[in-house]
Amino acid sequence: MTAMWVFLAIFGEAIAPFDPLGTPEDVLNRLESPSADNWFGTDQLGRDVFSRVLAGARQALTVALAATALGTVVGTFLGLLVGYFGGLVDDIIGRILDAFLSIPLVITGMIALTALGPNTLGVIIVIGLVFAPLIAKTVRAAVLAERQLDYVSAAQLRRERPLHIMLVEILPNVINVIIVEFTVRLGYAIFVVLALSFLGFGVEPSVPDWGLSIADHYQFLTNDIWWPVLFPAAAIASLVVGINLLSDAIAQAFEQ
Amino acid sequence: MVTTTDQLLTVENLGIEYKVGTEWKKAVRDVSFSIGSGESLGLVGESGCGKTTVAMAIMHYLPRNGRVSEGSIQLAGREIGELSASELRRMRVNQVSMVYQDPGKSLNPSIRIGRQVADVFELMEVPKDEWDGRVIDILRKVQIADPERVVRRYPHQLSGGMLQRVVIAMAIASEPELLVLDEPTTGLDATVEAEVLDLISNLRAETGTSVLFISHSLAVIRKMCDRVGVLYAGRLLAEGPAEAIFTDPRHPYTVGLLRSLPTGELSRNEAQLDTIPGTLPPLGAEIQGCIYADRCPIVQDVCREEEPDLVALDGNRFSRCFFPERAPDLPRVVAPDPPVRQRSEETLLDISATSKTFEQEGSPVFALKDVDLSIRIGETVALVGESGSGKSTLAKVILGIHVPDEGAVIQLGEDVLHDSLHSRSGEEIRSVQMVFQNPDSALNRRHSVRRIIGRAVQRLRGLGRRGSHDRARDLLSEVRMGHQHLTAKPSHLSGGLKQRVAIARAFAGSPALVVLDEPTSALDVSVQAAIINLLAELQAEENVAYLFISHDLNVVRYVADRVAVMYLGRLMEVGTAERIFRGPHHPYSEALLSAAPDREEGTRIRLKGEIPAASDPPPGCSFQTRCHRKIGEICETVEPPLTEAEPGYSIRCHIPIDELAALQQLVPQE
Repeated sequence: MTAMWVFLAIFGEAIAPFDPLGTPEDVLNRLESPSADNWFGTDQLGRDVFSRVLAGARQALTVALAATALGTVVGTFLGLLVGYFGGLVDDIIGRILDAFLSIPLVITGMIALTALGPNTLGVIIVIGLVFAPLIAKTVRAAVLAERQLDYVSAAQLRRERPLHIMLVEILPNVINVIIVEFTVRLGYAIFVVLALSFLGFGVEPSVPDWGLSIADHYQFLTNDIWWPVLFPAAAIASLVVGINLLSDAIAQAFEQ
Repeated sequence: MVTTTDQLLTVENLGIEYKVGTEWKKAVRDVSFSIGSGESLGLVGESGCGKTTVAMAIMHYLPRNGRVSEGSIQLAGREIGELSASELRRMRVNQVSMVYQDPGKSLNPSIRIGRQVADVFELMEVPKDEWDGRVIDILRKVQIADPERVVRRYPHQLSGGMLQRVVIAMAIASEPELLVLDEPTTGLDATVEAEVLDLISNLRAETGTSVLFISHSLAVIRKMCDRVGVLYAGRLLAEGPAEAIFTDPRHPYTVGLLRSLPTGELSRNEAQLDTIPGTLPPLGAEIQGCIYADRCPIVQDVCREEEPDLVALDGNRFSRCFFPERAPDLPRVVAPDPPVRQRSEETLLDISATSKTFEQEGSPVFALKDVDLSIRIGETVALVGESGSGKSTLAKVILGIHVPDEGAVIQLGEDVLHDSLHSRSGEEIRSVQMVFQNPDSALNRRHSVRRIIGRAVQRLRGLGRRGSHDRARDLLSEVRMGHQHLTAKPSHLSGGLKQRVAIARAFAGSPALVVLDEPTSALDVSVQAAIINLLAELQAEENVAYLFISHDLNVVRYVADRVAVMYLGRLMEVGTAERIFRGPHHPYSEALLSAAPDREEGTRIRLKGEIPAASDPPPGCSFQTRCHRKIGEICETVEPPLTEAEPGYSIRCHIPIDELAALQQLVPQE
């Protein structure tokens, strides 16, 4: 399922039967129900919903991937730092991270994006930084366990630099945890990205985006015009479920 | 022990398989033995030989990927595999109990001891109002002095020995006919082990329970069992009365095992230990002929073609060998000549007035108190004591991991060593290295052997990548490993090979002193012998000094030139190994020595109570609360100094040395 969406993220635009961004004459066919021509119907500007769903995969996945990657890198580094040094470092950085964690994600995002204005890069940075403390917590726990092992003492006994011990000695042993954490967070990230764009804090309006499509059309639901909302929503659901299944599978594979 | 003819447990041609991936692999084959009522049978063997698997099969408690593939297990005439779930449950409640290796793991950490013990009575359908009384009774039966207090505790508030007593109490509460003990004393201190073994013996004498005792320790099995079965790679290689198996072994494997154990008076200056070459065949390997043929020094062609049967030798002893009569004269694998050492009287490391105090919840914990110790060039000094005695702390202070309190002076050769790792020079770092207890933990499992050793060479020798790889190869040869292992990850190596890699790493910078923290306690007997020989050879070649931390007194006696006995962070006695073991001893050392399982019955000195907390040491002599030779008030008020009673021998005791000598001629009274 995930593989399908990744494929669509790359090629979606190319195989879409119509231009997802629409053409001027589309306006004539506004809000048509699903038919042989337009499998998922058309939206309020007459654009083909099917094409937009296909093309939207790229937006959702790239933004979420970039944000999660950023969060993972920052979070891993913080986790290594806090887990390895422990003591005062753990107390200080740990409390700051806790403070961050106590603020609801979407609200932080909204505030930050109000300040930054809606743009893709902003979304990536905001989500990445908000995720970092969560990932740092998980990595910290794994590092704490590794730190007890004697190979760390052995490295200290030949006076390795802390950075070397963290990155060369410990990191390879916690990479499994980080990969699992990455996939789990990726699922969340997609939700948050789309939630933000649904609320209008995401991307520029013209980009085909599932969250935005839902936001633009849910007012029509009461008129029995369900297709512009249902199909992007189903897309979101299937992608997130797919990624979660994937992360479960990875976690299981590592356990064996 | 009375042995009756009716058999309580009969195991016949037992075969057990484990599913690995999609394949079923044989872990145990054709194992037969029986236990009469009141009898105790020991199963002994190295790790991976199938001891625990057999025990689990008897409990009908194999893991989900395991199954009994053939043979039968009958308990009191009933086939265990055919019991229904409720019958099985009743059997486990009333007939068989098992004690697992780690008592900490078999108790629920969040439930009070009293409640957990009461569970047993609940299962036995004892009326609820009797539980409390029965719990107290049973705890008293396992010699817990203060059961009313213990029942209110959580497992983490009790010591390992105490927990094991609780677990044993739970196991015997239902007065089972058969008690299965899986390594019940592994991981306990020698003095505690001795107490637990005594307890088991007493309970057996009292109740007449049959026992299946599983252990890797030959000495423990010998002490505890009437009959012994020797398991190897899932096969029973020898079976017979314990005395016969140990004094007159008739299988090459048993002979090899016994020879690899350092026992009695032997010192490494006299002879090398013999070893068993090769390694255990992998799980489920299909081997034609005798399973031990590849490692057997007297292997013949016939051994590789046919598998020998377990043949009766003289009535009640059996050996799975074609040539049992040749086993006693088994040729040695290792030449007995010890490596030639240069000895020096020159001091390498000198520790004086070294204390270490930790802060714990605001109150001080005195981990080390006024330690004075010197180690000469090329010498082995053993550090002995129960867990919590400060052995590891002293090692860590020498290594620079812990910074000692003010006033400590640690001198290496001419120079005063800097306190902490950060302030030490490269030369100081290079000179003092360490081999850890558990190679699994000490080697980074993501790095290859080449990288593990090479990195140490780079750091400690200052060599470049190229040079470090060449040196890594040399080091690997020095620990008698082939170059094919360079690219291997630790997980692909056996325990012995991993420890060799760890040793090679410690030797990367040609150190002057290597701290060996129980370097063989995680290894099997035959592997331990090879590692001890290797360490002796390396010492002779490199003229390196060892600080050897161990609780195995036989190993200490074999390897050490001098011994230091620690208790509660203090040195109690320091002297040559010969002097320490000959006596007269410090009362604490006397107790430690008498706790070894191969000691004669009746000479055991039981220490009272447990080692006091280092945060709250007793006034006066630190050992006075447990001392069996306490002379009076002076012990409670004045801490005796460590005085040189004889040249090269110091002791911390108020009793004059000749008086101790006189006292220790007598067998101590309970």
